[in-house]
Amino acid sequence: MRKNRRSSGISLLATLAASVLLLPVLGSAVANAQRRLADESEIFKAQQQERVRPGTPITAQQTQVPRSQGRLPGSGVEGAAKPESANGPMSVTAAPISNCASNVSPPNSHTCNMYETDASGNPSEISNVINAPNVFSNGYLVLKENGAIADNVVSNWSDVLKFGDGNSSNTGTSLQLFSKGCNTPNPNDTSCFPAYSAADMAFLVESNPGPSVYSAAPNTYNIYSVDDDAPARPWTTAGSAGQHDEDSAEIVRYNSFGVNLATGKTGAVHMRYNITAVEGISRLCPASLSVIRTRFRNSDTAGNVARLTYEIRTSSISAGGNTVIYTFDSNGRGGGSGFKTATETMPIDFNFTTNMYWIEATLFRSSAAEFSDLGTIQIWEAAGTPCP
Amino acid sequence: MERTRKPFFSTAVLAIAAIALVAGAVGLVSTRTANAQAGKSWTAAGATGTIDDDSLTIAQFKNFAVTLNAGATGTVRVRYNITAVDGMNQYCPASSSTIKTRFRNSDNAGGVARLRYELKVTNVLSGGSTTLYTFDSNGISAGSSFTTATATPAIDFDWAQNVYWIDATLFRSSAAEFCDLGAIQIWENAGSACP
Repeated sequence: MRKNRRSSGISLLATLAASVLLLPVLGSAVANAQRRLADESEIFKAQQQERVRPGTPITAQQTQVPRSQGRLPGSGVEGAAKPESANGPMSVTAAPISNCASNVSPPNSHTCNMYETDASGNPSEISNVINAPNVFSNGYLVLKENGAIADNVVSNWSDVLKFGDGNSSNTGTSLQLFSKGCNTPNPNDTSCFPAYSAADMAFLVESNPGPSVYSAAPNTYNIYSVDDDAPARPWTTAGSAGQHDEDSAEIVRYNSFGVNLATGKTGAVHMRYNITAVEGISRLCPASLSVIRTRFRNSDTAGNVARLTYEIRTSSISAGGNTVIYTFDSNGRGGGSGFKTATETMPIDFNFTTNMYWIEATLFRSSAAEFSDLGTIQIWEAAGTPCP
Repeated sequence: MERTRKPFFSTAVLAIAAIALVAGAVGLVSTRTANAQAGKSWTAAGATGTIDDDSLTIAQFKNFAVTLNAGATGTVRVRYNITAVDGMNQYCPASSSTIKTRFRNSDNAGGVARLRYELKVTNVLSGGSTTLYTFDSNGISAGSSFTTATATPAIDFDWAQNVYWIDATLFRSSAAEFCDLGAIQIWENAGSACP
């Protein structure tokens, strides 16, 4: 008995010792599990959870097949290879211009990359028309912002990819991307979209970040559309939280969220803002497009007596330099005495591994009666390749 | 022989050991969770803000803090931009956020020295200016040393829509008083887990 009890006590001590030793391991495992969970939760907040996960291929099964035809717009037409099409990938261009290339396999298939740009690579909510190397079924692919909203609610459409003439009874080779805003000052303008047609349209929930991948066998279409909804962690700044240049100390005025010229003052105020690598501005590897949203006030749309400009600049940590990668100009954006918000999409990839970024703003007015205010800035990477 | 053993001791010890094990594990987990939440918080040294144009002549940055110039009296206004670091956006939505403020104020009644700041928000598309939280040194404790105050207001930070900043006011009417803003730390501490 005594022996057994001692043995029992030793085994208890051993168990306790093992338990104590295991605690850090257990704790570490739990901590790591929490960390993974936290990382996974970084992408979007609740209102964006309906979106497809970044990089997740979206198969044809996830789209709606046009009801009358039973064929997806953009899908291959048997025996209809376009003989003059060049094989092999198109040349790589620096600017994101829409393009198509034949696939090695399967035969007579292609992959197209569609961007919100024109033929010169300039941002455009109505893209240039390009041709695919193979004939496909015509129709429309509609990207929806919110998957829970009915297909026929046009205000929920973010982009429309037009195949040929859009009539699913026909075949064609041309492609054109239309995006909300339709190159008008109104970011919610949908005047360039076709009317709802269940027979001619397939629907897909827009990926954020892009691209949205549309598979219409045997073809693939990558739509690098820009979601106007900011991600969970964009970089933001209040205009009043920057640093004024020493030459502007006598005329600058910080007011609530904004910065402007002091009452009765004229001249040019120079401001600087440091941009930091929050998740939303460094989430793609690389980004093909970034969105820059500026809230400002400027009363002279011609810029003669009042003008707000700012530049996003970059410098290499190891090599230095000072390069302007974006310029905002209040000219031509409509004057007035109220604040307004401008949203622009630019082919910018923020690479904080090698570079630093900052903003230099100039608020000018030559008449004290004019307005020139910088309110807020919000920036995020909107489309590109998901990071591994 | 076996049946003559009294299993009470070993059962009790096992029970205690189990409780200790669970308690230890819980302690470790909770500690690490808290650390994880604060690990990527937004922080600012008081000395890194933007001094308002009307305060330039009486404000000074000193080490990590901002305060009034030696011998100066009046009101200093300082602003701080808040950015969307991970800890500021880890719940969907957050029900509570932690705000820690390191400061020094020698007048607990606020008559001759007082530190206040407001955490404000504006919508990127529609503008506006709304105060989400107000810090006030009054009644928190006074003295000639820095102290840290912690608050847990019900704030959810939504960066997709908004811009956040801090608008601080350091006041003293006697140059012998202290009024310093040392540092601020903020993170979302509770809420619904993001899917």
